[in-house]
Amino acid sequence: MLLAQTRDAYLDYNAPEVSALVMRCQAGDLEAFDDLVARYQRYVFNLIYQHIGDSSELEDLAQEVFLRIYKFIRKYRGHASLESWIYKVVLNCCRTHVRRRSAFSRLFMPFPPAAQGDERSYEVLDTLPDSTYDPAKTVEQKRLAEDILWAVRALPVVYRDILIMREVNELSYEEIAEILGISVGTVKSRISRARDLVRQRVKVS
Amino acid sequence: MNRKIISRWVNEYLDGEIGLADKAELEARMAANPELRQEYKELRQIGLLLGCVPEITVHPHRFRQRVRAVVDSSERSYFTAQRVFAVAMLVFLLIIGLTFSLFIYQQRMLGIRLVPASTRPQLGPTPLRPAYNFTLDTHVSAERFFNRLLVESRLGMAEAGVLQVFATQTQVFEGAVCKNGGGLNSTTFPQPLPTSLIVSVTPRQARALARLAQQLSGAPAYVRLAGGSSAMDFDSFIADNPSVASIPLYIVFH
Repeated sequence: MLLAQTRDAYLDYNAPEVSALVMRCQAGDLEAFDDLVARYQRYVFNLIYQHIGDSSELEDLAQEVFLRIYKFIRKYRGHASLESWIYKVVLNCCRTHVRRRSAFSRLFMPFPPAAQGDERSYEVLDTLPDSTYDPAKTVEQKRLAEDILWAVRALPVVYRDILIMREVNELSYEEIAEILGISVGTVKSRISRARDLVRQRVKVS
Repeated sequence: MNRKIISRWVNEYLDGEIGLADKAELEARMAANPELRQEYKELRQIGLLLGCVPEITVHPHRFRQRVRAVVDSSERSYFTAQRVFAVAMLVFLLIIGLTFSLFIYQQRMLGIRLVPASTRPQLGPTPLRPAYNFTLDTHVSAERFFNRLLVESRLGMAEAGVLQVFATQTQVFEGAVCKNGGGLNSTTFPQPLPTSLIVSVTPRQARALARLAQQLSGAPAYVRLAGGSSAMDFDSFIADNPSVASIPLYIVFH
């Protein structure tokens, strides 16, 4: 009965093949988990990159996320989409990482630089809009985009996460509320406050 | 109109979540207010540029292999959470067992069998020192107690060696003078006698001292054990512990 209900819940939020994949993972099928990693690795890397930037530990963090998914996939009951659930795991890992990093940096020990080229499993691609062929404008836009990203990453964590969820990942108010476990009203007010903070810090002409 | 409401409308407008009536109202206000229009434009540009965060592409196999290797090793790992928990529980139970065994062993070495307080009559309200295992409350003064002890010794009624216990282990008889042929209360002590004493006695001697105290005060004399948690009479103690050679006895006078 419970299994049937759970299966129905999956069907509400996930595509049938995702539901089948989750069930196989929950049964301890390592091949299925391998497929799940293949399916969501790009999603997870991008989320981590958006929330903490290019870090030497991007890959380690992604690995930690997937290990947590492997460990806790049995607790996923299908009350939200698998992507939302993974987003929650990513946010938890990122927050733990930031706390750890700030404690570490208090000891005045710099983090090692990010791995380059062949050593790493990912590449960072520039995605600035190329609607204009004016090189000067492109450079200016790139600088502005970097300033904005810097300002967003400097925000308090409650505003930073919510703004990235909305502006970068284009999640709806309801999805954000579900992932963060807060009300839609709180989501709205935090997004508004986050935008104001960024606008105050970055001069957009 | 409230600035907060306008700000909320601007944000809902940016997110495409604004109601039709509010949308018309906001657009009219923006048309009339260049400052509001500028604010909207800036927020919109921030959103657009934020949407251009660089993207990550992941090598199709490299990361998968890495995760697979870690998952495999964690599956094979001897130190899984369940095993660590089981070992911790085992160690915990072992410590509890050892502690309990040690407690029982100590009790047997002392030769003491505790008698629950509920099975024996409780002593009076006199507060007794809990630091000693055996406490005898005489309910009489030291002078009266030792006078009686001396008389009984002279008459050969006292338990063997009781007088020697006090003569060798304390100084109560130093300078004591016997008058009037050794009758009752005939001994005077030059120094003030203590209100309490600690002596090492055999259980039989302790029983004799308890009986002496009982005869003098008329109140039943019991021995209270450490902490004042249990009380017992010496007959029971001797019967239960025939092998005990001596006990420390804390004697209280009034």
